Amino acid sequence: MAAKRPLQSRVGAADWLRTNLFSNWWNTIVSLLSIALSLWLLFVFAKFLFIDANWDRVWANLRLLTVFRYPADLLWRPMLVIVFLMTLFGASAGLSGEGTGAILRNTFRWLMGLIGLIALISLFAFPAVRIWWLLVIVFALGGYRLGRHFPAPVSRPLAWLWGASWIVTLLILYGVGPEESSSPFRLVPATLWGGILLTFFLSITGIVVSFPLGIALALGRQSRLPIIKGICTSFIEIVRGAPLISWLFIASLVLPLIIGANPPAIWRAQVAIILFAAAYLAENVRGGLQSVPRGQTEASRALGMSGWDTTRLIVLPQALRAVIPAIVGLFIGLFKDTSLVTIVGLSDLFAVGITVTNQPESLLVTGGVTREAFIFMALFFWFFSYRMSVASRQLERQLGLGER
Amino acid sequence: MSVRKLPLFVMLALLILAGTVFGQTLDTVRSRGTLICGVNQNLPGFGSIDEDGDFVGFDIDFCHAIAAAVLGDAEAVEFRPLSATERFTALQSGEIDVLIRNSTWTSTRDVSLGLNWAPTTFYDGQGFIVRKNSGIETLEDLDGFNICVQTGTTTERNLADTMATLDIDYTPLVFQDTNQSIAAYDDGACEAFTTDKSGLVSRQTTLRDPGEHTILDATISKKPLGPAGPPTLDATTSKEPLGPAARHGDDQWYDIVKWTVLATFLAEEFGVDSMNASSLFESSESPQVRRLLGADPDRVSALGLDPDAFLNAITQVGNYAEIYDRHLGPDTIFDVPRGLNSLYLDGGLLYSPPM
Amino acid sequence: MLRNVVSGIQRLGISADFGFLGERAGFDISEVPIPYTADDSFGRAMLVAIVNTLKVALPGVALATLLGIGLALMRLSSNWILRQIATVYIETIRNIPLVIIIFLFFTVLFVPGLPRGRNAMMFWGGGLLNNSGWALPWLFPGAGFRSWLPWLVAGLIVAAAILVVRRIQIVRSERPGNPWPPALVALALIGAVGYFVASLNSSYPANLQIDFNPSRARITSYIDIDENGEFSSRVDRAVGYVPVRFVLGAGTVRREFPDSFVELRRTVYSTFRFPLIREREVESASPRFVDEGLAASFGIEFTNYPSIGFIYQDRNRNGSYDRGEEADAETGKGFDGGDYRLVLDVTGFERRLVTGREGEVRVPRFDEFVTEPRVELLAAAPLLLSRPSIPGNLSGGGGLILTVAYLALVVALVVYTSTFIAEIVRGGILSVAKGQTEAAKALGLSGSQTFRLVVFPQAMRVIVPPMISQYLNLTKNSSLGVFAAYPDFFAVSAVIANQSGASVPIVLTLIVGYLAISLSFSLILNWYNERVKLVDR
Repeated sequence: MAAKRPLQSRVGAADWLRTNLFSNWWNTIVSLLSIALSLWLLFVFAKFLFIDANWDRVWANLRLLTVFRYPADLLWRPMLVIVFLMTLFGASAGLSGEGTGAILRNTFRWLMGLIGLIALISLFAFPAVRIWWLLVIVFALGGYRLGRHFPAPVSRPLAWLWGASWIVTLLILYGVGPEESSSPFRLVPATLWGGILLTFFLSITGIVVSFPLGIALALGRQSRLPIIKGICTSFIEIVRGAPLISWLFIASLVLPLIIGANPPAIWRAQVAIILFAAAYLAENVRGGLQSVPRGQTEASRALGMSGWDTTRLIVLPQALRAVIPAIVGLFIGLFKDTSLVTIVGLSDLFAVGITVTNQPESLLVTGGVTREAFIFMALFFWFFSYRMSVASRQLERQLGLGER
Repeated sequence: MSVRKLPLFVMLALLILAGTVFGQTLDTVRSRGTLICGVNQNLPGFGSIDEDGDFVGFDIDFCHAIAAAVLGDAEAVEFRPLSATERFTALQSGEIDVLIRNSTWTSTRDVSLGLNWAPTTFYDGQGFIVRKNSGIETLEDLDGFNICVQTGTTTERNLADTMATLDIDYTPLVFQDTNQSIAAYDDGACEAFTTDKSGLVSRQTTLRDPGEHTILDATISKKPLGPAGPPTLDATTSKEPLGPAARHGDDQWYDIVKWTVLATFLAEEFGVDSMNASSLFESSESPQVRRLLGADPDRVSALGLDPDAFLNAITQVGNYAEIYDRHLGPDTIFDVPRGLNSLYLDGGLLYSPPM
Repeated sequence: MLRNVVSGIQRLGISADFGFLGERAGFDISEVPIPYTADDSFGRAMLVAIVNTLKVALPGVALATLLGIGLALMRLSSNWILRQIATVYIETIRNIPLVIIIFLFFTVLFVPGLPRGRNAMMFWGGGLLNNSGWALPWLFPGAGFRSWLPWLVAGLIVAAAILVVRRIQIVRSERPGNPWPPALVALALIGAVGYFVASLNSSYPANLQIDFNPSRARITSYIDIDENGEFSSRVDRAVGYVPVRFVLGAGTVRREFPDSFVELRRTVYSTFRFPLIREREVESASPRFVDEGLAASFGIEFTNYPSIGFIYQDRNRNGSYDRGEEADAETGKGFDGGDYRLVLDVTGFERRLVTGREGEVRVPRFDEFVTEPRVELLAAAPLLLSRPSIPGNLSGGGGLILTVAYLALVVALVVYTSTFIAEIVRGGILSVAKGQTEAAKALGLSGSQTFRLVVFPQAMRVIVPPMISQYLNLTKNSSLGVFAAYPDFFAVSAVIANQSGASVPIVLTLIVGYLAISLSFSLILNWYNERVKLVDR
């Protein structure tokens, strides 16, 4: 395939058209019909997007859609999280080498493009956060330079920072002081979180926390002890057997009744998401474990390594490397599935979108704003999921997994 | 794993997490410093979220009133948006202190779900909206048609009961979201849409051609329900008393919720509103007004509240008429007539026992 | 400690036992594939919901596979634009949450986009599509079906026998051959003969009872389906019917208006499905005017409710009945301000559909002219073709009805899952080494033969395992039907939890139900997977 390409470019556009679109009468008809159909769809969609749609309500509710009811004077805190994470990400991207590292750098570049666009818009439209978006750019690029030019001193603290990043994020978002005070560090209860913030939080926490749990379950399933094996296997199969929506429902309905305590809805949903993700992750990891050739284990045992060391140092690293693309795929699924938490009363992006269509002002718009709200949400999810799936595919190619 | 062992497994898991303790709600609220109020965020007029992220609506204001009475600050409320299916569980489990989410008071819910209903803040009845030119005038005319209804509501159940009594065949189209149901009706997927009449009135303005639709009285029925006589009202269909609900087993807290609602009725009856409450507190000679506002402190204090509890509620939130007009009155897009929700003096059902 | 938990639950007023399953449900379900009313139990409601879930999952799996294979072939096509369309489609759809796709199809596309009510789209062959659903002509088992059944079974046995014998013969002869044609021919022959014989055997259904209520102008027919002497109207939605004709009588009714009158002469009869739908009435009426010249510009429409008829006038004579062409319902006047006398003749059974819905004339009720009702059995064919008849209200007419919620859910699931299936199929086809294709070509196999005999069987080995998990995903994803008002297992369970308050047992039922569905699915599919593997090696 690759060899043919330069040849084609030399013979010119007419030949390209002939081979690819109009090679025979049948192909010609198909091509013409398809082109007409695509143009018509494009026209209908563009007409709605730019002429018929009324974006006023979506625009006016942008704060609700992004952070929901996170206090207006504390918006700097989610922004600080973005600065923090982007700095780490920049440093990692700068640090990374070729191969898989290039994918990280590409993703970083793409994110920076997106952030640049948002910064540009907020420069004119959102005075409250425009400084912060500029800071994000400065720090992210700073982190990148740092990683690029001082790889040796940066790499170790960076690993520690990544390790602590989830806690740090949680701390910044939650705050410390009492809720009533006007202090900038005051507590912001999770009930006020929502929109895109919550969508990201639930899915990222879900994948991060379920990761060790999933590995443990996968190892447990391979265990020689029948009790452990039985528990892990039945957990994995039961959780995977029912849909996420039912687990969310169960978590919200039954848990508080029985434990008596009332963990906030966000944590109940989060628990359901984590357990659900862990079960799927365990299956992926199991696939990875099975792909590690037997000789590896035998060789390390022959070298006198203990069973646990063999697993930890020899088998797991290879198994995990093999399942990275599958884990990215799982994360994309999780990211999209967070939209189901609306069923337990959480205000993720999807729920806020519905709320926006139910405001008295939105009812005044002829025909409602349902279509606009849904296109906004669809575009958001598509944008990030698509980018992640592209990265996942590059990763797959880099790891040479397709070529086994 | 065998399916038979499953309940055992779940029970085992639950055991680990067991341990149920409930405190007295008033103390909990006081020490927490905020009232947690279960509300609807998707019912324009009664509960919605504005662009700034603030909850607004008729039900929401009663949350504010209770917070003002208990904590002295109408803003000390934490709102917990709940879906129709999870609202009662949230109250039972103690996740919320009070549920003010257009919930109908029924015997089942009162008795077996372990809830106590405070006085009704909004008397509603189930209605049907149909197209004027559809020729549908009675419930029997709906025979064989689709009816849009929202899931998890008493409306859904009443509809089934009534239609079964009348032996009418219909297809319910059940929706999770009111917006969806009204849109489906407007687009003609159903011949009729049914929900509480207040909801119908407020939603009618949002239809493409509001004038082309009419709200049927669900109770009009050509077939006498009794053995003989003229058409009678079908009790199960028409009654939808909506009000705040509290948990069973905490009478003090229930009394507080109940009397805060009654205080807004009394205030309207006595002509006390948010503007004049403070001055009436100083100057009024009417013993009733003085008792309500806490100038004669013993009545309010008996509830375990500060003497100025209802003064705070009325100054900060308003009397019933003010709350009603703010969200449903003529100046809003809904313009729902007071009807049954007038004081008993005006022929309505709002009647408070003396204080 | 266990007692603690249980008492904790009971203190909250919530029962932890399964007794609620027998209680009266008290709510209606919009799609009832098996008989159900609000008077049935919660348990039955749950059963209905499980059937509803399967009703989405099985066709969903089949359609998603077809669409997925189509997309995979498009992506592998030599046509550039086809490849691009498939790629854009796949990359767009699979990256949007399924909930949003369901919402888009249901709330944004189908409900507002499809024609409303009476303006239903009509298909060739008698299908009707509007925004409450899609009604298709459908074959239902008729009264003769039971006598046909033994013939069908016999046909199947003979066909199976032929299949086995031919297979052995082919293997022995060591020459290529196809055992299927003779087996199928035998099946068709026996079936056809049986069908003819069963049709002859026509008898009046003994387990049928007719109830006519003149004051309600309503006919209810009961079927004693268990043949235990009890008649209940519960099975009114059952499929399968034999045309039974009720002749309710004939007569002329004259209704006087201040300055005009309407004269109605009706022979009212109706055809019933058997086991029957509760009532059927006049399906169409043709107007006959005293002044014949005017008749062409009028249209009459009866709704399926017997006492209402609509009347229209094509005032601009453009062949359609437009808005604004109203007749005064009270006086019968309003057509050009004129005063017409018309006779509605409904003895004809012509299906005439009139679009538009303006003026209206109330037609007197049956009781004014009904004589003794009588029942005639028309035919006892084993299979009966039922066609949709009423564009405004699909559920009142015949045919198989797919509701708009069902359509939106199935389409969304198919559209979404097909993108994943397409990638699996494409990967499978690409995994077959190129040398295989070249070798097949060298042996003189044609393009389609190469695909059918060489590439496809090898690709299947790679395709089947991930495909199984996609099928299971689709089944589990049908739980999002709650977002399209579709009463699936999850949606109904949530309603029951709300109505009965029995959260814990419902949660258990939910898990066990889904596990059972998933397990039985994967058992079947894994069995197939084993077969594919064995065939190959």
